[in-house]
Amino acid sequence: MRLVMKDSFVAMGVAILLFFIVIATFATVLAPYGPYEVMMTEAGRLDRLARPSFEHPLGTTAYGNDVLSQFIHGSRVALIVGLVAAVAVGFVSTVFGVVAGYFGGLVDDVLMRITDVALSIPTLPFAIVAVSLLGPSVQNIILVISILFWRNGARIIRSAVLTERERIYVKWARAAGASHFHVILHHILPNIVRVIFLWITMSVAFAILAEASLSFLGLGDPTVISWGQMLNTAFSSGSLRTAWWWVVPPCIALTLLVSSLYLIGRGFEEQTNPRLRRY
Amino acid sequence: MGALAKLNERLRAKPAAHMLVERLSIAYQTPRGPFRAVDDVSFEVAAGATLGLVGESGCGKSTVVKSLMGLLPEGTSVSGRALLNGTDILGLSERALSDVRWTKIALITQSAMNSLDPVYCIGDQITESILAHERVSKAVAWARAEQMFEIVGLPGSRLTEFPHQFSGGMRQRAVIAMALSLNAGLLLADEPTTALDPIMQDQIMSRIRSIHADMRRSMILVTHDIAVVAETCETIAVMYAGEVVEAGPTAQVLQNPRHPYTMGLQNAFPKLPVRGQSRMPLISIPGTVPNLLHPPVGCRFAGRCPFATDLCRSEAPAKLSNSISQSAACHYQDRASEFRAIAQKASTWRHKDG
Amino acid sequence: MRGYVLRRLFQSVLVVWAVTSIMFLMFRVMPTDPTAMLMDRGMTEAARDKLLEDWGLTGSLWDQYVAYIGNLMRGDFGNSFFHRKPVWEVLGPLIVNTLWVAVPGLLLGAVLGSGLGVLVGWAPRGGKTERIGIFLATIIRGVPGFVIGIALLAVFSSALGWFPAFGMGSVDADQGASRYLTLDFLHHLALPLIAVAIYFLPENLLLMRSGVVENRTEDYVELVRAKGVSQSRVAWHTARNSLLPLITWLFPALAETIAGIVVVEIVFSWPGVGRELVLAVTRQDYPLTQSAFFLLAVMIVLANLAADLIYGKLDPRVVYK
Repeated sequence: MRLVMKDSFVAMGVAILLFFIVIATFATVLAPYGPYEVMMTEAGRLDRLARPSFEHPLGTTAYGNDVLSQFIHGSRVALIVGLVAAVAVGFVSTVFGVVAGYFGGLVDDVLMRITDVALSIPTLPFAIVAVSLLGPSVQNIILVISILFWRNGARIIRSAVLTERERIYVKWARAAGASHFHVILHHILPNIVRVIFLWITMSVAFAILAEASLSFLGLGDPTVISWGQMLNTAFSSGSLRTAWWWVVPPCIALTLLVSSLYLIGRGFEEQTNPRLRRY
Repeated sequence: MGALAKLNERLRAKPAAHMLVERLSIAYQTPRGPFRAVDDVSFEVAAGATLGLVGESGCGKSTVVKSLMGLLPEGTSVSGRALLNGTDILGLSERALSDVRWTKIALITQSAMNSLDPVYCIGDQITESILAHERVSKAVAWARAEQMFEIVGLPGSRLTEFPHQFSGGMRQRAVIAMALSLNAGLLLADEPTTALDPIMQDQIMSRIRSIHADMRRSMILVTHDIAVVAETCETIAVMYAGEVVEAGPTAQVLQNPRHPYTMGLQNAFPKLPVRGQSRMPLISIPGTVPNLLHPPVGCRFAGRCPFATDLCRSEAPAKLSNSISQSAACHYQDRASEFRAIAQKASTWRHKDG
Repeated sequence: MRGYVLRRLFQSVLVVWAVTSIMFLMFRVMPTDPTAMLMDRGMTEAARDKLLEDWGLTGSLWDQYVAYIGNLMRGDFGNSFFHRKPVWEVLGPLIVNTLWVAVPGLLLGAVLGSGLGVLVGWAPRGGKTERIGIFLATIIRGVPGFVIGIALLAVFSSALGWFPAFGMGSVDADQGASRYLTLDFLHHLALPLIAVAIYFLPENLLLMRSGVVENRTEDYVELVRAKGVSQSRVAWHTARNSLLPLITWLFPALAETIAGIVVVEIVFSWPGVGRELVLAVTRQDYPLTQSAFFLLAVMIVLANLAADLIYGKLDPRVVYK
């Protein structure tokens, strides 16, 4: 909390994040219509591409859906994918990083070679192929993102563990007969918790970006609306250049949400790296 | 005449500098208020002479050097004057400083280990300083660098090597060669031998002495080693907690110190045993330097001085105004010979413990 | 040095092999039938079997794997279902197109980003320049690649009409190799290239800034300043030293950066490998998908190899064993 108070950037990030969490939580209450509810004009025709008005504050899409409602519901996918994938990524990274860093030697070598291979996989292309083969659903997108992003975290956490492992008290604990599991749980993990937290924060951002990109490319879950999908629909219906009310909100929301996470992560980084601290 | 000979001629013609520092005070800005690292310091270096600035680490001697080079962090408040050949060089803009730095004052840095840029070869780093100030070709600058390497006793062929390929002593020599490259009128040597082993320290110091004898540059030698000053410098200024507590001709000051701190400092260094006399034990001064965020009202040394009285603790002695004749910032200078006798005994300093 | 390069090259080949094997497994283990699309088009059973055999899709998984690797080694990537010609013929020209956007775009982003990073790094700590610089960079870093593309389209193509919105050249443009040298091509190239540059810029800025902030208090910087060289020269020393961690960070990040290039190609309908990959996936053009992915993976492995060698050139402390 002290970090939040001291750094206005972090405070700003937390505020934006909370804003979207509130919107996502109360989406069904806040949204005036269903995300796929089709709007009709009084004349009984499809109310398509209507400019913002009192009934539709953000206008309508080419298929007569209310943009504001889609926008509000879209926050849910972003946050769910972001949070679930980040927790999964954080878990896998931590296990990989801790095992490799703590045990070292052959275990480390093997795990790091695996990480090297994983690091050479182009992320989005892999996600595109994997999601199209597995079938586009929120679960599969989360799975693919988790498979992709553990690798960078594993490296970061491993180097944090390497530093911790060399500390005197860790050696003493081992010498005093503590089990590996005990040492990891009581001496290593508490000291790298900041690094893990930082990595999870960044992973939320990566996951949201990945989901948005997949949806934008038309590989999103077709049963739930997301911001990337809104843009995909606008793009493929050729309304990108005309219906600004349809395009601008998801663009801004994605930018704000991802940036808010980067702002929080940055604050953490500046605090964790003593060489960047001012005094 | 070749371009190199012309350059050498031009540089050789530079006179040694005269440096007069008057009432120099420096305070670093910290979140807990100003840190008065240097307080009302005055000293003088005659052209071609050497001044030794001694004191424990943290006494402000390096800060003095940095202020003369304009290297203090932004926002540091500096007052007083530093007249280089009559011109004040304090508070100059970066642009104006570039005419002073290296052409008029050169620096031999404290830790040669990290003072060289790891990704450039030594030769590039020396020629960089030449090319920044002299309009000569790269080849001429390189040739000059080779000559400087020769002066410090390094083969010119090693100019193409990188800092990590040099030993500590070689790096220190390279830094000295760099400082000589423009034959600046004043050399600032900031603890030039601290990071080296004793044998290497000796070699480097005798190298510095012979260079000084040859080139007759003015020099300020910053060190915590009083023996080095005794061997090298005409004048000495002893600093304690941001102030000069005693100054004057080196021989006089070291033979008849008037300030208890100088007496203590002398005790803290090993003396060569004299045949027929018992070995002098090493005596260190107990206690710690006062916190310069809140300097004490009276004499700053009072807390550690075995002779301190109530007067010392309530009233600061007058600051020194020059370093030419021997003077000390102590209320009881008249009793100096009496103090000196007592200060020789280890027990004098021990009772301050605890 | 030569031994090191050879060993690194061998490692790269191993990585490529591992990636291709993962890809092989992905495609075989998945429930999707690669010939489903062709069956829809009324292909006979016999023709289908023939195709499966051509593709090495018959026999055990191991036999398939051997055939698959063998084909790759011979440079035989098969035929595209959709284009009905060898995959290589489809992708070959697209590689050039992708490189046209990616290489100058990434270079521009890196140069601008690190240049600004040096400025922000040397700005007074806690001052306006530093805060604004970090804030803007962090925000721009959060802008998804396709949003950058859409924004550029909206402003410079729709509103101002300065640049064309899609494609690589006008309809009547020359189709030969000389097309890359025409003004028309550069006109089309501008926006996607700028999009890639903006996408890549903030990360460079932030990393360079951290490096400079860490370096500016080092002893060597003090000595450089004492030498009385120009301020830009002092900044250059810190930049040069910060370049090293920048390289070790950024090249592994290229695998992620490719994401930006794929979406930019889509937004601007730029006929590159990334766009073709997305199209192939939607068309279920399975050999083409596989090969496009393979190509992108190879590009990343090569970029990483280059990074290692460049790093060795830039850091004199690196000793090749």
